[in-house]
Amino acid sequence: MTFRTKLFVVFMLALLLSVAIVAVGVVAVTRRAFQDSNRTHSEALVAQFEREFERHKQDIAHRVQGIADAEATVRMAIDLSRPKADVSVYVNDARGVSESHQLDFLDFAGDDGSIISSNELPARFGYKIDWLAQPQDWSALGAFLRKVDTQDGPALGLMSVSVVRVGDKNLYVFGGERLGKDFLASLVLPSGMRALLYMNLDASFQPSNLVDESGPVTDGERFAEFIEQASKQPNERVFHMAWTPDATSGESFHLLPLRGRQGELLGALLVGSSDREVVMLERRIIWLAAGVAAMGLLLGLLLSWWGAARVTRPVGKLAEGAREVSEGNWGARVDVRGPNEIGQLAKAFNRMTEQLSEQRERLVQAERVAAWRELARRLAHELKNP
Amino acid sequence: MFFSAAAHGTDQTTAAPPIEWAEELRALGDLVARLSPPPQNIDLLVNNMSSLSTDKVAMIDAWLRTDLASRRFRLVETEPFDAHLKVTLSEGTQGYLIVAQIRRGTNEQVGIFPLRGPEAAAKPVAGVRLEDQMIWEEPGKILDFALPQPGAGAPPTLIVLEVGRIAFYVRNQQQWQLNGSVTIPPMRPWLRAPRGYLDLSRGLAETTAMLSGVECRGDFGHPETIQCDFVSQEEAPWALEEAWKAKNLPSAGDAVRISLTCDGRAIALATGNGDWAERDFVQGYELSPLKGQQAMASGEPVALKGPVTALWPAESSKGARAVVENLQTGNYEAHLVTATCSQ
Amino acid sequence: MLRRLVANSLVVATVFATAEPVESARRPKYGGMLRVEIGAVVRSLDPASAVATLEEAAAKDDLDSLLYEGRSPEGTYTGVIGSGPFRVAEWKPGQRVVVVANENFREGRPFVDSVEIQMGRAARDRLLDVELDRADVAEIPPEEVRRAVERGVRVSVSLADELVAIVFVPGRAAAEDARSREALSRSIDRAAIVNFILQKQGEPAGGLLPQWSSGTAFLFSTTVDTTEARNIWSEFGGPRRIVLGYDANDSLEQSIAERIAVDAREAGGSVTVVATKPGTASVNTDVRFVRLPMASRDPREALAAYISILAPIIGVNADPRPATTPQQIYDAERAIVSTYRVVPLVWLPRAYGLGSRVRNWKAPATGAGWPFADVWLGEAE
Repeated sequence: MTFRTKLFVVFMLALLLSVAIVAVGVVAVTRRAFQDSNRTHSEALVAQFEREFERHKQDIAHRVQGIADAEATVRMAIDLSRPKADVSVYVNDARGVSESHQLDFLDFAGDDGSIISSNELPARFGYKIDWLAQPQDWSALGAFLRKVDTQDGPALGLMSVSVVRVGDKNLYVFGGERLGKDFLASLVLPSGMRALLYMNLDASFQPSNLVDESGPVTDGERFAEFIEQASKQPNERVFHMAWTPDATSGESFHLLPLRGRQGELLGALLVGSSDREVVMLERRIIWLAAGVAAMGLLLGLLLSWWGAARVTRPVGKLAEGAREVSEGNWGARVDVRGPNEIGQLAKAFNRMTEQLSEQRERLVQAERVAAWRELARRLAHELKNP
Repeated sequence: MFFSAAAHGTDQTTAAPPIEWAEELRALGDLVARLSPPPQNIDLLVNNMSSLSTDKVAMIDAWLRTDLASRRFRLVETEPFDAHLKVTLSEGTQGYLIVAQIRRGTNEQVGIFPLRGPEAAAKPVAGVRLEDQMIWEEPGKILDFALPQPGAGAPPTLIVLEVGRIAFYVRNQQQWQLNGSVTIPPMRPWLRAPRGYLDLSRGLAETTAMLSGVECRGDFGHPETIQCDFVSQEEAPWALEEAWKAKNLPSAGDAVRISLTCDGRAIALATGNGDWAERDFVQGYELSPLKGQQAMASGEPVALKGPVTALWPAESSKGARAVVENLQTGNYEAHLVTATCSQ
Repeated sequence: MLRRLVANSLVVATVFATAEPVESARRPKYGGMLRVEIGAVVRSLDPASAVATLEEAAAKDDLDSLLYEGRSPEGTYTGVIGSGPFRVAEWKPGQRVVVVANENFREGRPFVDSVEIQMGRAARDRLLDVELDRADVAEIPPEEVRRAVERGVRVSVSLADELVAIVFVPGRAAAEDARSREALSRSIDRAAIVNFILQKQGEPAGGLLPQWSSGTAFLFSTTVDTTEARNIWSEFGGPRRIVLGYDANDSLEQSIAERIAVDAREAGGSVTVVATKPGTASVNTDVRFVRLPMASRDPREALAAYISILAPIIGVNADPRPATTPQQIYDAERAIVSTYRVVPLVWLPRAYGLGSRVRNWKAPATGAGWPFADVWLGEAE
């Protein structure tokens, strides 16, 4: 490998190493920054959800109480408190009242919890809601999550109970709103983030129960493992999902469990942060780094060529001169000028070869003299000693 | 209404006294005996779902107990029972039914025994006391009817004026049997609500049957002598009564004066003022001798099972003939409402 | 001068009889147009034309009762069209028909001059129209009677003479399982259907004939037996899914179907309700509704008519020796009901809202048509 090549390789290695170090460093810092940002956004979104959730609970509790305080409800309670009251008169009342108060769910139930009228399941009149009639301070409890049976199957509802008491008889007003994609649509989401809601309505995980603001999520079954983990241990957790081999499809999820009145897991909010932006940025950085490296390579090539021309040519000449000297041409001279070390070296070399030439001349002259002297001696001897 | 089993468990071999429907009740007893041969302990429950009066039901209950006891069944209230007998007095469009459910263990047999027609229960009242007796009923429209006084030794007769004929019935073994009829020519124009009246004021031999536009005269004791002719509408007989009613009982539907006085006051009978889709009644009124004073309702009214479509004084003059359209059965019924002064 | 009537009178009066009787509230008046609204749609008056639904068949039958002279014991109308109390003056198929009084009807000309019948009106609109006196007579669904009365509408309710039942479709797996049929029947709370859905207009039905007709309806239990139903279904090791079809245009059938589904679920069963298009039978339904008006108040005739209609379902031919005595009627009823292929639910009355002008309205008798010939119009109140 020539000096020039070595020089070139060293130069390039230094450049590449620098670029790589810088790129890795930037990527790492960027990734961390994005992760921090995502975490911050997720936490903000969860906080927003919790605030919105709480506001919603209060709103529902207020609306249900409004129904309980309405004159029509009080009259119903008075009527039903009488002996042998005719409950059937009110069987269709829940539908109209729920529509006027914009509630998805509304039930009126008697003192023993028997359903008088139901909006979401009109045919269920007469059947009892056992837990409703149990002693409970409903006003202090506020709204709570509950699994609600409807004609289309179970649903997740944010419910509230108000009680109208007449004499020693209670009339229960049990109403609320459906928690689902419409609620998710009310959340304000930063770009790159999304909110999913899993409604834990069945004994086992059902992909169709995982919804976003537009409806059931595609590939929902991929969440089964995490949801089931949450079912067993209903704590907040974070997990990552790679949808495809492409890293841009990755998504980080923050899971917030939603519990019912008795702590049972009724749902889970999943706040997803897409990896796409950070991965794209990383890729951009890498590509940038590669571009820089390539440009550096070219530049280095040019520089190295130029540098080599400045450095290696004189060295080459010196090397050539040395080779000539080794081959016996003590008169070799190198034509290298310059104030730098290489010029000084060339000057010294020339001086050396010049001195070598002079010494050889002197040596040759001395040998010649020595040879004449020997000859002379021999002649002398011979002459002396014929 | 329930009548629980007697507390006695002793045998009684006294035969049950005579009663209407004895034959059907005896058949019930036969069925019980066949399914659960005596001597057996039986828990008896009698339930009434019909319009039979309380007294009638009590009579049936007592008769059953006596009859079952005479068959050596022991009517008990406490265990052990060999059989449970639930007797229900029910009613359908075909009349009254006695329904017996005989249960032995988990096996139940049902016996159904139709009964003949009901009897109306009379209520004691104050003021003018009215008694209602249904004389006849038929699916066709009755315009009027009459119960002329029978001759010596002759059976009672019933004349029924219908839209298209005059029918003559004679009493035979507690039932009215058709004994001839006279066809009345069709009236023109046909009226949706024709009216008719049997005028027996001159006796059976000179009776006139009046309908809208038609009169039939003759000896109604010999129907073959009856002749019918078309007459002018202006001679409709009911206008007179309506004019009197409008003056004296304007709020009533139909009204007739009868030759009865109570405490010196003339008595009239009148119906309600509802239309013919409602149940009606006949109420007694005391007419005031003072001019301009309204008639006063007196006594309890007789409730009927439909509107009164015709009301005429009865031949006896102590009551009225009322034709009632039974809203439940759709039949037309001939009723005799007799009035007496309560003491 | 009318002298012949005065013999029993205490007062002698001379009255010039007039051609018209003295006006009174109970004496009919002639004239006017009776405005009627019904929910059904009759598409053709041709006796040979087929009807799409039982509702149309019933309405056509009612219409025929106005147009034909009489009815044979077999139930067919006799005479030519127009021989009855009315004849057709205007006919818009499926929308409106106007009939005018037949002056020559043998039972007498109807009191009203004409009857206008608007078809296909929604129940809510019919009730509103009669409330506002825009209609004289309007069919009211039985479950709306209470609301109509509360709104001050005069309501006429007939005897409960229309049987609503569910029948198992022959050939379906669910239909061939007797225990499953029995479980479904036992799980149904008929009293709740009458009290809540029908608002107490109607009666729970355990047999085919109502109590007022046969006198033996009480022998057929209508009490819900959730425990026994649960025991039966547990024999199968779990609920067997039954698909119950209801007429998509019939809100009453829908309400009852949903209640049956709830009752079945509470008893451990599984009933899915599906809406079907009227006049078509969904191929995937195991059970469907039937509404059977009684052909006659006579239980013998009514039962014979039911047997002829239900014969394909219960798998028997019409008995050549029809039941005549109460015992035979009961035994025949019991034999049919015990198969559980036909599950009686409720008996419905026919209800009509009446405008203030209507007089002499009688609730239609069982098996009889509309009583418009006897109705007359008074002053509006």
